[in-house]
Amino acid sequence: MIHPYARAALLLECVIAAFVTTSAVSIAGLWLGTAAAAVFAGVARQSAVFYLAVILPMSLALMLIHWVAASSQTTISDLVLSGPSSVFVTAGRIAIVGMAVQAAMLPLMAHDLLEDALWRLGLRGTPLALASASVNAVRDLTTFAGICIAALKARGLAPSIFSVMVELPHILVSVFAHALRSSLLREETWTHRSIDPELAVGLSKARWQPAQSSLALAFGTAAMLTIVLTTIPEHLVP
Amino acid sequence: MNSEGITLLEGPNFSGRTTWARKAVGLPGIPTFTGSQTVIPCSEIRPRVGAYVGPDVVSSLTGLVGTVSSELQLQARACKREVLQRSASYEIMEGLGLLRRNPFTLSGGEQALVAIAAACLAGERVVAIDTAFEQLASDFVQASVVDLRAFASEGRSAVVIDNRAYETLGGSIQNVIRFANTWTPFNLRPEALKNQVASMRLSVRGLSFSYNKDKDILSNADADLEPGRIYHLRGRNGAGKSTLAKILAGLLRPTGGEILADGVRISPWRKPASVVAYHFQNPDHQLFRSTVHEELASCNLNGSQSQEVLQTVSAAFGLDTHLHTHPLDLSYTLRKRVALAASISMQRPWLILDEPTLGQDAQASGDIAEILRVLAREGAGIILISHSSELPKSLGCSLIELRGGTLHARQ
Repeated sequence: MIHPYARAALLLECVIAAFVTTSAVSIAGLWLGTAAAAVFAGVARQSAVFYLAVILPMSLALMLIHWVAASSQTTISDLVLSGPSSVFVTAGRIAIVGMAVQAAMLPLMAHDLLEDALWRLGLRGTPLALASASVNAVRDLTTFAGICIAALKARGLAPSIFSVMVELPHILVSVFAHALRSSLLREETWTHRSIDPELAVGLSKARWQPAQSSLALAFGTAAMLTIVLTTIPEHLVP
Repeated sequence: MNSEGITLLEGPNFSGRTTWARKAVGLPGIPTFTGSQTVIPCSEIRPRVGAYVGPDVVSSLTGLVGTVSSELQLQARACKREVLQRSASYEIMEGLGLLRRNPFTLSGGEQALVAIAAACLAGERVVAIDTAFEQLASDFVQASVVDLRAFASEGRSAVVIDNRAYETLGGSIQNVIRFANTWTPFNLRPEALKNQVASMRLSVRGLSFSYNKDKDILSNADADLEPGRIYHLRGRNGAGKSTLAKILAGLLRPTGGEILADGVRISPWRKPASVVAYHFQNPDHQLFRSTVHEELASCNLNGSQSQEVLQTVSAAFGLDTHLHTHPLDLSYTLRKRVALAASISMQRPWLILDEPTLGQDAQASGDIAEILRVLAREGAGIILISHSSELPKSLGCSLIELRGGTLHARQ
């Protein structure tokens, strides 16, 4: 179990590095700072793999994004009409923060508590069904992608991490085809079996109590992300 | 169609059984999902007539909830029913602790069990099970058949498409509807195949593996596997057959023990697929290229051999007229053949085949069996993972049973 502190640190670092500072040195400092704090808090050993395999690559990705940003001189008003580099930078920042939210939130929450947690967060109707289904879809797609990578290795096509990256477009085609097929068949199942997605909620409300601690983090994360995304400082957008 | 019994739709592939079954439950024709072509939307669905479970069993689950228990409750509530906690499938799921697990993390057989149980809850008048039974071990089949018979005894109809029906369902079949091909199918030609691999003896000594510390999947497993023979690896759903296959193919690293090739210790996880080619059960997990030709040619072939191997393998599997088709544009039956052909094209000393005849009719299954005989005769070692008892019998397989984490060999 990765310590909640490590997850919170990842989220905080990604939000700050994506939207508050553009300095690669600051990002490196942030990473070192959170790692050092984890050592002092005594949770570094428990979360070492998480720090090295998740937080570090995300920090490096953010540094790369800022390096691209530094080479382009656009303003926020150019964003809509501008070339691909600024779109890449903004999309990259949002993607990184999105991944951080996933890494910080989802594994913390027991999966069978998710529908309740979203319901308690105030989601209702279609948004609730979509949120619940999308989280399950993430689980489905990551499982599928993992099996695809294993199949590539079994075919001798991906003996190393580098070759997995080379094969990434092929994996993505497979994952995309699977997503398309699954979503169409699933929609067919919903219609055919008269399953109202809203029925999915409230199946296990009795298990609400254990979800409370996870909910606090989920709510805080969602609120922070909303604030950050709606108030991006103009000078930080390339 | 008479109710109050299990109805078998019998016939070869491409004879229209699936289309018939889908229409019987109130679904339009088969929607096609492709990598490059058409997507036919499902516009004429007649809700609540019945429930259909296709070969891709995961798609029969709603994907809206996080546990098997919630999935069953949701599907039952949609039909204003209660989950039958005393049904045979439910008891098995409860006994194995599946109810609290996420449906997406279950093994293929476990997913099929859940999908069939959910369909029995959601079907109003008809339930159609297409190929899903072929993915179940015998105890799961028995439980599902009990549920289907209970469903049918209430004046409703259960329709099954299963190429091993007489083996798996036996006396439970009350009606048979026969289908015939109206066009020429894609014939396999086993005689076209030649194998050019080196033979190799494979041994495992004290092999252990666990996904977590609480439960060992493999515990001190020993086996000696001779080249040129076909072994039937048997075990119940979730027993660890796929895990053992993944270890031998180099996809997982064992927590203990060793693997020997001709008496020399090897580490397959350092170089996956160097000794063993592994064919996955679901073809959609292992098709990556944009044409069948590229799919077969990408299998680590070398130099002048490659074209020859490609030609013989594609001829043997009846794929030579589809070499320039996108694999995802093919039917499930043909996708399965492409994936199988790709594994054989790798020309490795050992082949592990997970349900190689899944979704294939009697003629095609017989031809695939003949292909395996040819490969074994040429010196390849084959480990067959299958819930069928007829196929291993026809191949004269040596039995290896995986039980309680250890391997029990029988001639």
